[in-house]
Amino acid sequence: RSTAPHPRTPTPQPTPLHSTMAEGSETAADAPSGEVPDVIQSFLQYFHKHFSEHNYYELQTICDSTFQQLTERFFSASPWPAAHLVAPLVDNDEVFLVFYNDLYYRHIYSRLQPTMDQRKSSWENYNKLFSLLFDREASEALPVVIPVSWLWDIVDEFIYQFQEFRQFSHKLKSRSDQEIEALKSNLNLWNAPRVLEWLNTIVRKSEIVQHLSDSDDSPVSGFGNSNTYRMLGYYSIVGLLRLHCLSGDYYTALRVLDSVDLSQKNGLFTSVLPCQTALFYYTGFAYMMMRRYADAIRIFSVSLTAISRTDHGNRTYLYDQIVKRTEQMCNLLAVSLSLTAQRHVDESVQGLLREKVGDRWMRMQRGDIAAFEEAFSKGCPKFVNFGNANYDAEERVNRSHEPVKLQLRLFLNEVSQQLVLPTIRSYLKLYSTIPVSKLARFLEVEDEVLRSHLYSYQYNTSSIVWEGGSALDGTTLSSADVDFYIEDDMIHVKDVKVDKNYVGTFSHLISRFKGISGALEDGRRGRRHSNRR
Amino acid sequence: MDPFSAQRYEESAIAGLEQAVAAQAAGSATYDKDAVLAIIRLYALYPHRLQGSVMVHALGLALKQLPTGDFHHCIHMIPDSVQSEEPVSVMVNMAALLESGAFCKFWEAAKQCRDLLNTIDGFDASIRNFILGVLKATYTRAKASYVAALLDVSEGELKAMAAAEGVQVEGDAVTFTASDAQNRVRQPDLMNMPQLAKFLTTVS
Repeated sequence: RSTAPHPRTPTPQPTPLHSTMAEGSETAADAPSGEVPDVIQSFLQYFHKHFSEHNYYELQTICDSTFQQLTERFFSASPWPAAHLVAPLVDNDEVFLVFYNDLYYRHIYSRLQPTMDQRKSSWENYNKLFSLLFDREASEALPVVIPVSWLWDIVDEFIYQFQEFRQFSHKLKSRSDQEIEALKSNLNLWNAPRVLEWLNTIVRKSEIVQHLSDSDDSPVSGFGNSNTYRMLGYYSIVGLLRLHCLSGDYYTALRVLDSVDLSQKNGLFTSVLPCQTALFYYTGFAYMMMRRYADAIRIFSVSLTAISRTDHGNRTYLYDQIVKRTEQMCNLLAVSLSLTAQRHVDESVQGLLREKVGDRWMRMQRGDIAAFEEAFSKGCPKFVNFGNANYDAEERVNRSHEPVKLQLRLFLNEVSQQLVLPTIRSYLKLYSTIPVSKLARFLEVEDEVLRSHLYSYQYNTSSIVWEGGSALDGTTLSSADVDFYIEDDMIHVKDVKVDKNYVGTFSHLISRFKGISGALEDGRRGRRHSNRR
Repeated sequence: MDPFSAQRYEESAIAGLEQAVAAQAAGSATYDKDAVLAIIRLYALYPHRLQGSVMVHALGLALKQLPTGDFHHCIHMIPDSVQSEEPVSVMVNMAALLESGAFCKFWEAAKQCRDLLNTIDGFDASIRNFILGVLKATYTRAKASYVAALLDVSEGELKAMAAAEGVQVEGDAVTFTASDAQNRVRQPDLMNMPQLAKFLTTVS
């Protein structure tokens, strides 16, 4: 199968036209309103030319930098020219205009406040875009070439606008009758089943799952042959992971990752950094909500290490996004570490945690529920209502915050159950045997209550831990660092496991010393050379 | 079930899934986690179609799977307004009692909603299995009367259960097989392949 190149090579030097456009002195204020400035006209024609000629690297430069620079100069507070103004410049190329509209609406959502009409038009544009690509015979796949970063942005923005509308449509408190009518007459607008269905369709038709599982005998249709289609399918898998997390369906969120191997060093997710961070963030979050804290810790640690080692290339406007994700993951990692007896994280990650959430982490380890609530609120995604609001209700209320409240409440329930346990653990660590009644007296609870806590301890410290295979696989292991059994009314505490990871510590120290001695050796050799001269 | 199948999110799928859940609750079909999750998911997408009785059956079927976390997977998808009202609130409360180890309180609460629980085939038996599993992991020996109370069975019924579950009952003492409580599998502190590879390249 032929594949277009994955853009891991540095982007080529900008052409002269590109630098003129980006650095000239003309601004939007110079052009009469309603007309397209000359510079923008040239840019749009240049853009269209490369789009039609399928010039990957030029398109990538346009998406990653030129468009942003021109936005800063000309459209920092206004929309780009509407499609009908652009159409004559690009020979009314329908396909180009649909993709142009993606950028047009994305700009409105990020810099301006979209109106109801714009929300509707953007929804219609997405439907048109996906329809153009997929509502056709596989043998007649659209011969477009779109840079992977743009493909990721399409899926990412699609879900973002869905979230935005869901929140908007559930904030009914101060809406006028007219606004409610507009919402009622557009029940299918940004509707959840349709959004989910689109992403499903894209994954199915792009044949990305067959491609990832690499079986030679799977049929490859026209869609599966095109890298653009396949990568759109891949990013739709990540999109579904995100959507299922937003609805609280963590099991299905991990299910869709069956064919994606997160431990791969050069997986397809590495081509676009925001995709990589989203993939790891949502996977880790799903594991955490499924109480698989060991797996959540593993995923967050890997991701935080990877982020600290990657540079952002040309897309410096992504920097804020990456910083935010890092903070979210630090909060969630601190939560996961506090809810399990495990403490095995890399030193560099520990350092990052101490820097970002050190105080909150300490409070969580001391059992402060408010700290858990803060960490979750800062770290969790923006959950939304997937169903439609009740527009006919007598009382108009805002229900947009209810999904977050639900997940938070369920999470805090979990935490309260777990917080009873560290106190019990600390007592158990002091004894090799202790009667149930004595321990109950120390804890100032009834015998039966203590026994309930002990049963809860057994249940809660046993969880599934991933050991290879797809995301949902794993074996049931105990994460307890203090174990016990009861004989009649006597608790026997088993040998306390020392909570240190010797293997990790020693191999880390060995490689560090090797590095230091290597540097010293090089220094010595250098001085010897200079002495000879 | 393929997570990318077509018509997965169609409203028309609801009727079929409601029937599937009813069959599972009646005991005429085996447990199908996908169907249970699917009906809950579709009720979240189409709230006007929600039927409390079907929801309760779905949750009851999931709760039967303890210690597997199926109930936990379902509950995050159900809006608060639904969870806080009967009949769903009843099931939510039962799950909370089981997960916090309050087994005696669970059976007391179960008495209050016997009619509801009787509509889910094999519910009591599955819960007893779960509780017995927890007890096996916790005790090597305990009083038979106490164990019987936790399982909500008479001592005679306990003796009958015991034989099948690897548990010995002699007089007033129940002896659990030592292997469960004393030899639990712990997360090993071993070196994995990537760590070993890094180690070998460093020292060579």
